[in-house]
Amino acid sequence: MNKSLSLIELKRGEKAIISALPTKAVNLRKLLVFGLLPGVEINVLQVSPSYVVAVGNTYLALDREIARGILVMDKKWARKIK
Amino acid sequence: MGRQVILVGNPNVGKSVIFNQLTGRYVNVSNYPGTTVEIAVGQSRLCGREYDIIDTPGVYSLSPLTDEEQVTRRLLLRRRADTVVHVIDAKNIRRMLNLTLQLIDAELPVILNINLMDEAKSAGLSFNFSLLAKVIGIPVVATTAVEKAGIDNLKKTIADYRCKPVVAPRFSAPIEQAVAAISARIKKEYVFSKRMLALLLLQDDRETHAWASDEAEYLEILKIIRDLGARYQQPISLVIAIERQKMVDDLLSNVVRFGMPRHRKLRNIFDRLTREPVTGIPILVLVIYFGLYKVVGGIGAGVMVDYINNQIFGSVLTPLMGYAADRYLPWEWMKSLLVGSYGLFTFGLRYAVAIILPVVGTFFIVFAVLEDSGYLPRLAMLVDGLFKKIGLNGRAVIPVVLGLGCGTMAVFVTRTLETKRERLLATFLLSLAIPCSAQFGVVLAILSFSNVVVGLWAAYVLLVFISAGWLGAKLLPGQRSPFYMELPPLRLPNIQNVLTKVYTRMVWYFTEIIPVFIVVSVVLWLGDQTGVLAYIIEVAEPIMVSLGLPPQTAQTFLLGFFRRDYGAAGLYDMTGNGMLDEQQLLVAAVTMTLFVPCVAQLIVIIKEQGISVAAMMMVLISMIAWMSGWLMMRFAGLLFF
Repeated sequence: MNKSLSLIELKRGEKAIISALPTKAVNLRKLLVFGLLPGVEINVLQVSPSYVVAVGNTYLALDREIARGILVMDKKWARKIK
Repeated sequence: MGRQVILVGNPNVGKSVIFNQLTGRYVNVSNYPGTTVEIAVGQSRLCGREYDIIDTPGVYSLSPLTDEEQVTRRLLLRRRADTVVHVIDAKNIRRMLNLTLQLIDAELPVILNINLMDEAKSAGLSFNFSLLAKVIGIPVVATTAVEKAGIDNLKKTIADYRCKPVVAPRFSAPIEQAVAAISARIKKEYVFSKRMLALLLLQDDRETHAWASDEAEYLEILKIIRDLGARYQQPISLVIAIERQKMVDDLLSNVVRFGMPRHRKLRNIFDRLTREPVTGIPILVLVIYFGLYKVVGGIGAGVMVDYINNQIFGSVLTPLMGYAADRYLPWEWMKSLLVGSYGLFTFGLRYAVAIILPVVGTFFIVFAVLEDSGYLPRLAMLVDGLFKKIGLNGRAVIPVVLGLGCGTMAVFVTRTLETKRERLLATFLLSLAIPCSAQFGVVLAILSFSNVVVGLWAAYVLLVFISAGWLGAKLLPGQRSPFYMELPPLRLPNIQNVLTKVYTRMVWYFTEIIPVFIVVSVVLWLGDQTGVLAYIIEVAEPIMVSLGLPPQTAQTFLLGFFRRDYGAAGLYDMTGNGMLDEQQLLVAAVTMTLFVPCVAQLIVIIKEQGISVAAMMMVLISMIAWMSGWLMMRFAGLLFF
């Protein structure tokens, strides 16, 4: 069973844990350098006109296309499988 | 030559402030990734020894994703640095130490400079630096560069630096085995260590693969990479990133304490207001209105141009020079070369100093304030949706806004866009529908008789911008790249940074403009003396007349090609003389705005895009400009005049 959903399914103000990153190599590497890694908490600050997410002390603006490729899971669920 | 010190680091970590304080000379401090167009080198004397300090464009890793990052890596490879100072943002230390580890892996002589300590403190972080230096094995210096805190210590550390071999933390066994196997098969010498090369090859770094492809055992290397890839479900670069983050977390486990952040209410409020669309878009409109329309248009092109051009030049300098020439110069030709209608003084210098300097100067001030405050990435994010419609993404807003200052500089900055297609589209739109500040200011001044007409001009140019972009996006093959950008915290602009940034850009502008204005003055003077100019103007006159403009505008438009802003300034002069009525002013303003860019910009376009693309652009732009002028003549009259 898969509890992962795409980042674009989250609402403004929701927090989650990253479970997977985009498979496309270019997009993946763009996100890695900003510290987006599986297991890291991501906080959705804004969903329009672009997505704005906070990871640690970094704020990052992303368009829907990149945001769609980021998979996240619920914080509670993430603790359970750890 | 002094010892070489290279500063590297992410954008927005205050690298350029550090550079200024090490060298006492300024280059380009920016909050926007991608505005350090040139690499800055400054000299410094530490403990009686000479050092060359080199500032580089911001990088996120040693495996570049953009052309600018490429520049930094090539620089690291070409200049064998005696010391590499890695400047990081203290509050993002977890993310940024990744690059430190890469520099150590590359066996570069690294000093770690943890900057922005003030922001880290308010974020609730506290550090044990001596422990960090011990566990990571390289010198560590903390600074708050804007307050000059820690700079002496950094200087001392650079002066005392002695390279010691450092062992980088190890990856898991399968990766280390692959790294060892690849390293053993690399025979060529490189500045980076073989270990780093192997890691870059594992991460599919294109340039490194191109470089290694003539190694005798390249095929075996590829096989090792494939075999390693087969072991994991995830891409190797992700595995490497995860393991590196683990190393960083281990290094930091007893070094950093995360306490309660001190809430900086005002900053948080501003941060939200500029970011959320409901408030962000009105703020954006206000920024454009006050920054461009009021400050650049009103103060720069209005008050300052009036004063310098009419008071200083018009009533004092020009008559004085004319009188001096009459009195002391016996030769008529020399008189006309200096103070004639295309004279070096009356034409070249007056236009450059009286009309262009105030406008471009005020624009650069506004732009530097926006840049230094961290506002530009927010602007990029807000307009991303709109820019997607014209085949670009939000990132392109920076060259476009810069184009409102100087199109030539903006075409250079299109390099920061990711794909060739985006660079081409942005260059075309900059050449067609983005008026530079000199032109913008003068257009505002000549259309100042009616706000409705200014609105009509702006609406029409915007319409051309959007429809040309939209069509271009449909017609050009290829895809746009997705938008991603770091939003740095809003910072109060530092006056010294803003002034020195303006100063650097002004120097750039004038070293570019002064040779052009001398050449243009001389060429026009020659053309005038020989009759060639009269002939060209005669040929161009019917085109002007077909737009309902007086034949004299042909001359203005010709000047406009040599320097777009000169053309605008010519129109400004003609308005002063009452040669154009209101509708003609609108027609002229629209045609001039859209018309082919200045010579300097054309040269940069040829350099960046090649001669055939540049020629096609010129033809297309001339046609669109003429058609637009014709439309304005034909229809605007029905509506407004």
